[in-house]
Amino acid sequence: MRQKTAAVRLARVLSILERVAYNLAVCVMLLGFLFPILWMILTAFKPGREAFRIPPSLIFRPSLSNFVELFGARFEGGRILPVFLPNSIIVSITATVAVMVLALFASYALARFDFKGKNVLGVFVVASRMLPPIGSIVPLFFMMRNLGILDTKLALVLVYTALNLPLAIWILWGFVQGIPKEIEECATIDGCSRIGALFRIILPLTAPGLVAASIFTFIFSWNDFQMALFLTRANSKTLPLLALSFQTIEEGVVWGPMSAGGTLIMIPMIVFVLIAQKYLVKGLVLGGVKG
Amino acid sequence: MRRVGSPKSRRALAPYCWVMPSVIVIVGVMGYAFAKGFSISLTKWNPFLNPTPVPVGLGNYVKLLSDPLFRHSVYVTVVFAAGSVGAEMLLGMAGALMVQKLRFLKGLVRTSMLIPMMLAPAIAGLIWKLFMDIDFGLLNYFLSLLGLPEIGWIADKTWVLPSVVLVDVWQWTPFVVLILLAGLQSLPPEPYEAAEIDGATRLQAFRYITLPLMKRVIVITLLFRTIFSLRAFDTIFLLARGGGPGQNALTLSMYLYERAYIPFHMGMAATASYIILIITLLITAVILGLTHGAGSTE
Repeated sequence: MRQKTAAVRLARVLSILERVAYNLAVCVMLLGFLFPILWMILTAFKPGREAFRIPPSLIFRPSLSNFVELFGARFEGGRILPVFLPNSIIVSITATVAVMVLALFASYALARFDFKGKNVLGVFVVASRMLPPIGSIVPLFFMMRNLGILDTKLALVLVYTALNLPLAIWILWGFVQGIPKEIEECATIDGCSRIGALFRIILPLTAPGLVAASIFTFIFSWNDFQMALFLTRANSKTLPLLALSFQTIEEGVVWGPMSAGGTLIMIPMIVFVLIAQKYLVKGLVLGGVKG
Repeated sequence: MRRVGSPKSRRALAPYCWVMPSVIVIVGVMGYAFAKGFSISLTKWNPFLNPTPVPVGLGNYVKLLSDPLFRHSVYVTVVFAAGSVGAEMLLGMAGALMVQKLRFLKGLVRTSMLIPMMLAPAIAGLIWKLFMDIDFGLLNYFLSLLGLPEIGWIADKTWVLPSVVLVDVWQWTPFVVLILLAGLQSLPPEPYEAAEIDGATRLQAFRYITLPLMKRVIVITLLFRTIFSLRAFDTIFLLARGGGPGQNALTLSMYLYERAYIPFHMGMAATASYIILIITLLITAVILGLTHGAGSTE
C-alpha cells in the first residue's frame, strides 16, 4: 500500500517536473526570438557611445539623441522624416487598399460562381506565389522605365499589389467559402443585388480575413527592401532602404542611429501584430496550410 | 459598357468581370515580367553600352553554368536552403510540441512568435549585424563569458554561411512553430486515447500517429520555407554583401545582383533569375515526389 502511494507520488512529481521543463524551454525559446529585437530597441535609446560599451550596459539614462541624429542632415541628407517616412506610409496604404478591393471581388467570384476556367485560375493564383520576385526585377526595371514611372511611388504600388494579391485572394477565398450561401440567397430574395449582398453580407462576415490579408499586405509592403532597392533612386525611396546608410567611412557602422532607424521601421509592425494577432494567426494558417 | 446578348449570357460573363481586374494586375506585372525575363535571358544586353539586345540563344545559360563562381553560388544556395530549412523544421516541430503542452499563456506565446517573422528582413539583418560584430557584438561577449574563443561571424570565411543560416533560422522558425502548432491542435484526440490504452510510448505515438496525421501540414510548411529560402535576399545582402568573406555566402540572388545586375549584364541577370526559378521548381518536385511515396494521407 505504502509502496503504491510512493509510486503515485513519484509519478506526480515527475509530471510536475516535466511541466516545469516545458515551460522553461518555451521561455528560453521566446527569449531567443525576442531578445535580439528588444536589444535593438534598447540600443536605440542609449546615448552616444554607450552603444559600443563592452560589457554592455543594461542601465543607462534613455536618450533620444540617436533619433535626433538619424533625422539630421547626416543620413540621406535629412530626408528620412520628410520624404522616406511619407513614401513608406503612402505606398503601403495604397497597395493595401488596392489589394483588398481587387481580392475581395476575385475571391468572391472564385468562391461563389461556377465558370469556365475557374480551376485554372485557382491554380494560377497559387502558382504565381511560387515565382521568386528576384526573377522579375530586371524586366520590371525596364517596364517601369518604359512607362516613365521608374522611381515613383506608383511603380512600387503596382509591384506590391501584384505580389500580394495571390495571398490575399487565397485567404479571402477560404473565408467566403466558409459563409453559408443561404444567407446571401435570403438577402437577394429580399431585393438585394449581388453587389449589395457582397457589401452588406459578405464584407462584414469576412472582416477577420480582410483584416488578416490587409495587415499582411501592409507589412510586406512596409518591409520590402529588395524591390525598392531596384525600382527607386532618389524620389521614392522607402524606409527599409535606410538599412544601407549606416556604414560610414569615418566611424564604421554607427550602431546608435542604426538601431534608431531599425526601431522606427519596426514599431508600426509590432503595433499591428499586437492589435491583430488573432486574425494574423488565422490568416497564416489559411494562407500557409489550406489547400 | 456595351450590353452583350441576352441576360443569360451576361450573367455568364459576370464572374470574369469580378476576377479580371486581379488577373490583369498579376499577369500585367508578374506574368509580363517573367515572359519578358525569358526573352531577355536569350540575349546579350548591356543597356548602357548597346541599347538593342543581341540574341545569343541559350548562350547565357551555357556561360553561367560553366562559370565556376556561378556553380559555387548554386552550391551555397543549396547549402543555405538545406541548412536553414532543416533546422527550422526540427526546431519548429520541437517548439510546436512544447507550446502545445502549455496550460497558460499560449496566446501570449503565439503573439510573441509573430513578431520576428513580421520583422522586415532588412531590419533582421541590421539586428544581427549588431549582434555579430567582432568587437562590440553581444554574441562574442557571451562567448567570452563562457570562456569560449571568439568567432569572426560574418567577417570570417568559415563562419559567414552558418551565420546567415542562423539569422534565417531565427527569423523563420516562429513561422514553422505557428503553422505546425495549428496543425497539432486540429488533430483528433481518439487515436491518442487508443494508443494510450494499447500502452504505446509517447515516442511511438509521435512516430505512428502525429507524424502521419501531420504529414500534409509538414510537407506544405517545408515547401513554403524551401521556396522562400531559395530566394532569400535582404538579410544576406545586408550581412554578407558581395558574398561575404571568400564569397562563401554568395547565394544565387547575390550572384544575380553583384555579378550581373550591377555590371549591367542584363541577359545574364535574367538568365540567373530563370535558373533560380528552375532550381526552385526542381527542388519542389523532388520534395513532392519524396513525400508522396511515403503514404499520402489525402
